[in-house]
Amino acid sequence: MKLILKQSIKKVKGSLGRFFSLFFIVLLGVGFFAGIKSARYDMYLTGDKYYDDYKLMDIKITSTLGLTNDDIKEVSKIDSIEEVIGTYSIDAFLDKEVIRVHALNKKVNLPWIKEGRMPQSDDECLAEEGKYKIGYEINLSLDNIEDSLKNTSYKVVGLIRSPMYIGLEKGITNIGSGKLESYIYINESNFKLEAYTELYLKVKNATSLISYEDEYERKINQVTNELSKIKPVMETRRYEEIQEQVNNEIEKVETELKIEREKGIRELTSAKEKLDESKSKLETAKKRLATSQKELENNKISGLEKINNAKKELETGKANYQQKLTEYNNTKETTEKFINDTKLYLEQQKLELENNKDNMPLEEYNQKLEILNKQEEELKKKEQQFLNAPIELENTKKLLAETETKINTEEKTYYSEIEKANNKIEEAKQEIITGEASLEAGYKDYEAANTSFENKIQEAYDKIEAQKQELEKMPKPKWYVLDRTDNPGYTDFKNDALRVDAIASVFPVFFLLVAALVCLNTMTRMVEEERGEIGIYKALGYNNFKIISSYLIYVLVATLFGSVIGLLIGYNVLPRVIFGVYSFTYYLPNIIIYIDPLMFTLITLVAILLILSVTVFSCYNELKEQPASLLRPKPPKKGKKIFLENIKWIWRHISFTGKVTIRNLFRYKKRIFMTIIGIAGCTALTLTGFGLRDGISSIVKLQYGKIFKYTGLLVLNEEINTIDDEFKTILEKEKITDKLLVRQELFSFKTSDKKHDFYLMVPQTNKIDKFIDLRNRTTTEQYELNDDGVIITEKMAQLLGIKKGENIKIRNSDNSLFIVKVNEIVENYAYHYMYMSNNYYEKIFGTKPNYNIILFNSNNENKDQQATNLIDSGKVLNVNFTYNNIKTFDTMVSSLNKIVLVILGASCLLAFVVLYNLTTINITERIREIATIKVLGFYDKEVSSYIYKETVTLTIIGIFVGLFLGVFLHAFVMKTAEMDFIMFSKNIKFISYVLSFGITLFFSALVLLVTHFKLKKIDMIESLKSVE
Amino acid sequence: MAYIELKNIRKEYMMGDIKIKALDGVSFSIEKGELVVVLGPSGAGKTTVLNILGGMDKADGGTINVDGNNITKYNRKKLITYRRYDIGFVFQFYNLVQNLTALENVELASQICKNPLNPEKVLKQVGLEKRMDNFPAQLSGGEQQRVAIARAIAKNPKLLLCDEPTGALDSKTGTKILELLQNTCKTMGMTVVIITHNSVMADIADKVIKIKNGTVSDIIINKNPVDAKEINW
Repeated sequence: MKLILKQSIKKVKGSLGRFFSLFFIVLLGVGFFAGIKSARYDMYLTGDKYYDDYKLMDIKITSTLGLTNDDIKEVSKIDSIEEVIGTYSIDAFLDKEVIRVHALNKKVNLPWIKEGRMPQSDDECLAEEGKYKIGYEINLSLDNIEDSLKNTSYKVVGLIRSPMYIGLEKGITNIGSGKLESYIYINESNFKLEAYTELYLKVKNATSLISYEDEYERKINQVTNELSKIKPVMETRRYEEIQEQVNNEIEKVETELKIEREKGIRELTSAKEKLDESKSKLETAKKRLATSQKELENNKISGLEKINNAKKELETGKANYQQKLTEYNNTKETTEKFINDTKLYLEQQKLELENNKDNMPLEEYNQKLEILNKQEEELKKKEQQFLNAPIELENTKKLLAETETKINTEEKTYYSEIEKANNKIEEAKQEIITGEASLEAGYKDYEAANTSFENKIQEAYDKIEAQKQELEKMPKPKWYVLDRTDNPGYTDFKNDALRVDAIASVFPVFFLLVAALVCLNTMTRMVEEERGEIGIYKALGYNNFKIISSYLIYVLVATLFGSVIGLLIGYNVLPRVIFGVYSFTYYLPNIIIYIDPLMFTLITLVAILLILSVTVFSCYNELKEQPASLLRPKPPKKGKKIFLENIKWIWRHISFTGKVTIRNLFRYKKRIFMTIIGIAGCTALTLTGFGLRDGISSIVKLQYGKIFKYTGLLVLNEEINTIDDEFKTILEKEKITDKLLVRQELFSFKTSDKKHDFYLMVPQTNKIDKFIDLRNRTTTEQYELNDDGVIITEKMAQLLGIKKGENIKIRNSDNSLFIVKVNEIVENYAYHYMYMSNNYYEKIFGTKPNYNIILFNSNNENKDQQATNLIDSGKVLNVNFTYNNIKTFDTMVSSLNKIVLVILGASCLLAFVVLYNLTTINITERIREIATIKVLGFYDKEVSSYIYKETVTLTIIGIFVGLFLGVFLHAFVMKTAEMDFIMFSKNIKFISYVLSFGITLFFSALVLLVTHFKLKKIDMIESLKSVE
Repeated sequence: MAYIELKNIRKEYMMGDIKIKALDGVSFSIEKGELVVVLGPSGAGKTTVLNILGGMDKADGGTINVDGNNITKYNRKKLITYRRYDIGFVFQFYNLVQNLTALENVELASQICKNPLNPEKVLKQVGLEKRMDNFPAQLSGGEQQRVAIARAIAKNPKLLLCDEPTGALDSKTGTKILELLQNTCKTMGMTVVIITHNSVMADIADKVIKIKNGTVSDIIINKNPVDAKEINW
């Protein structure tokens, strides 16, 4: 055994080149296989660790009307849910862009801080890395934003990434242009909302599972299914809660309004009363004025009359006085004489009476006396009167004078008083006029106040009414139960990983195959070379096993080291390279390399086993022979005439090297086969790589240019029957001329193993060629919708395995089953669609379709503004431009391009190793021949070309075979790499053929260059010495 | 000046750490049209002399003049040209290209020369007119050596170098080959150098150069060389 070991070591030393070529081919084959194969899992793992570390939610529930603690309680009841976290987010404008504002929560969706720190106060925030800078002031704006947020201005204190946004795209929003541009995190205490905007759910034991893996997805699906069970209950509950709440509020407002109204009415009434009062006062004043005026008039007349009367009386008085004076003067003597006479008379009488007293009864006396006395008294009076008369006259005169003065003053007073009264009246008149004016103004004010009050009240009532109606119309809240796949980029990442895996499932196998073939060739060659040695051992009596052992040890060492180092390199490098490619498309932490020890061992064992059996196989051929024959050199392969030589006129025109080449091609069949396989393999791999890129990149142009011709798609706010005039004006204003109403509905169909979603499209008209080209892929025949069946897309037909004319089963979102007839199958590359006419829709579903999207063509350049305007109009929920889809696909394509590059690189490396290996074998096998022609005096170039002619011929044959095989390999890889909802174009561009041809040729040339120097170095003397 | 002249040729090989002097000052001359036999035991250095003379190896010292040209000063390319036009080799193991017929093997050499002889004629000359379209594997050892000689002659070289041409052949066939070589020398006036350890062959030579331990031990001019047919070993 020791001897065998020694022998092996010597073998390695003696043929380092071969040993290393074996080592490298194993390294390459195994490393590439394992590396590519592990990329998907490493990508998953990296994503998963990120999600776990930053506590990404498993499930998210949002509701159109917010969520409450009751919801949390109810959801928490589900067994498999570990935790339910209610929190907030809001979409707002930052300048013209829309960003999402998230509440920081320590339990879920943690930000990955790349720079800076966490917010310490409510006016600080974390913002997306690469988009903002620390210190930047973020000013949010939105209608009524102050109802939702305490602050609207935040200072950026930390730059972050979030596990919720791993892709370049941040998703959609229903404000602004509809596109979410970035996100920030702020303290939860900033939110003033009464209900949570979303619930984040952590599922029990989900962290221990790998996100993206089936097991994880199954687990989450279970929970979402359970959630969808309680969904309607919670929706109704929330509905009722809000109804009640709003009703109460309305009632409260109503009552308040009532009170306010009454108060208002009271106030107005009192104002009116006051006005009326002033009015009546004014009226009285007016009346009074009139009376005073009349009175004044009367007074004027009566006063004047009085004065005049007084004057007249005075005159009369004066005349009387004059008369009396005259009378007096005239009667003075007579009166005086009369008085005196009477006096005497009476005195005589008295005396007589006295004298006669006794003569007469007393009574008579008394009587007569009394009479006399009376008469005396009367006389006395008269006398007095007479005596008084001048005094009286004087008095009268005085009186008259007094009276005159009095009259005069009275007259004066009269006039002044008249004037005074007049003034007063004038004043009063003026007062009345101003009073009237202000009253009028007062009334006017009152009227105005009244109307506005009434309006206000009416408005308030209307508002309440509207609120009531709205409440009545209020749709039930809708719960959305979303899992991680809703996060932008999350699913794309998985798809990218899957694509790598799909490619990986074919390429490395091919790679391994080529490697195995090369090993077989190398070992066969080695054993052949050492037949003499084998013969000696055999002659000496060693058994077959012992003889083989030294070879086995040789390859074991080469393979073991090759495999282990290859695996280590492959596991570490390839996923990194692939991940590096995607690092431009995804924001993720560094890749986690996972080396599966089981896989590691298994691959190594398989590689060793494979190579060992190849070696045993090679040795077996030699060991069969007798030792004697083994000791003799293997007779060189006989030269043989070939068919072509019989056609002398061709043969004669072929140069020597040509003839040698041609003969050799037919002579060393195995080597030729190997070379062709090797080169063909590399070419096929290269072509497949290029074809893959073609297939994916061309579908973008086909899908969003040739098939979907529309500029964009409007998602309508509500379903409509026709485009009304108002909407038409809006659309025309945005330069949307061509438009097509379509009902789009998500349906599904089942294949044996899976459920696939597809879009049912029911356009308003049957002719839609301005928007969508319904055509056959091969015949390019165009179809129109008709009323007895549907048109479905190619991939869908493929998955269903049906031809046109057959019936298929489809299910709507409520899982109701419908059967439709397929009329035609049309070209399509992304997603599945079913086109259906209005009438057929009615036939199948029993109702006329309501339309929910509009396909449109527009030459409006400013698409962002157009989108913003359309969304602002309130009619449109979102605008989806075709060019955006192209962009998304382009990112995918460019990533894939890079993966293809990795594959191309590996293929080229393989091509190089294979070619180098084969050429080396070719040279060692023909070393005597080469030495001979060198001795004959062939120049270096001639020697090389002598060998090259063969290699070049083989290479070119190999390339053509490779191109041919590549078409099939490409088709196969396409089929494997294709996802359910995407159909790749099967065409390989001509340039790809050229490139594959060129690249392989280039590597062949490189090998030839190396060979040239190798040939130059061949030592003629050593090579020709003798046969050992 | 002689047609070919070797002066003080030295050649050393490194065998691991040991320096081995293969040639230690070999000098001799060959006249045009001479048949020279270089004789010596195995390892004496005769093949090394031949290799250096044939332009397959370079000397570490000394000069070689062939027809007035100092070939020791030739670079790689000039040496190839020298081999191409001036030298014809015949080896012990024939070294025919297995994949070419006898005729083609000859043509392989003649097509690169300036004044080649007609390959068919040469083959006829060596007695293989009926075997021209056969592949080496279909020929006997002697026939193969004839093809090799024909290939060398067809080049019309100045010098025909033969390294143990009969080494792998039985004596009868070997004699025939020697006869061929002698005839070639005589009839075509070609200068022929034969290397051998077999002293019997010395008889047919015009000049015998004996080599021992890397030096010329003796040079014998054979005034009356024996006809190759008559030698016996």
